Amino acid sequence: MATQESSNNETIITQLFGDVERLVNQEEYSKALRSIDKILQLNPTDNDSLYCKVITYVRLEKYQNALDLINKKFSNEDQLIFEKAYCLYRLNRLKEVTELLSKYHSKGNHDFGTRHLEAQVSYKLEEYDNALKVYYGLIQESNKNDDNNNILTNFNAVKAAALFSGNNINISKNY
Amino acid sequence: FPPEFTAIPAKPLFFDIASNYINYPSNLSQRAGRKQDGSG
Repeated sequence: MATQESSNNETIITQLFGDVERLVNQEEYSKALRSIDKILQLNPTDNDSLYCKVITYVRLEKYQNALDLINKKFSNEDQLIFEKAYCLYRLNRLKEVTELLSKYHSKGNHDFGTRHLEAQVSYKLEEYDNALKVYYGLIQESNKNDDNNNILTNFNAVKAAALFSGNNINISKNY
Repeated sequence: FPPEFTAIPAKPLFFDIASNYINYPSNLSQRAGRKQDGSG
């Protein structure tokens, strides 16, 4: 009886994940959240579902909710670091982002998302030299087909801001 | 009249590129019971 019930739950959970997938593709994030919560009622420790919930909160711009969920359910140091840092960034807790990212990067992680975030935080903190350095690296590594144009846009925005602020940086020399 | 043109500071465009890297778990379609077909 118990096994039958649990296999029944598995079927329902699979269907609910199907709903979640369809709804996020349609950008129906509030509805997706309801399906995710149904999964979590059946299995409160379903990690994929919790992960989906974090991302859905971000899509709904509910950054504090996303952050609370990460802190509660993904307390392990190495989990969802980028997502956590992104939420802190959107909540304007920039010092915390800087600390989190420098710790993460010092461990040898160099993924694109966290480096973009580092550059964006540096820009906001008016630390233009660091922003330029990070963008320069990203431009060197990026393929021509992906968001290279967007990176160049940001790179130039940082340069303009640096010049406007009167910073005496050696732009032409280094970059 | 007409008012004189005056210079205003222009704020350059700046994109939130990091947001492109916030994505659902890659095994979502597997959990939905579908074989991975790369279209998810």
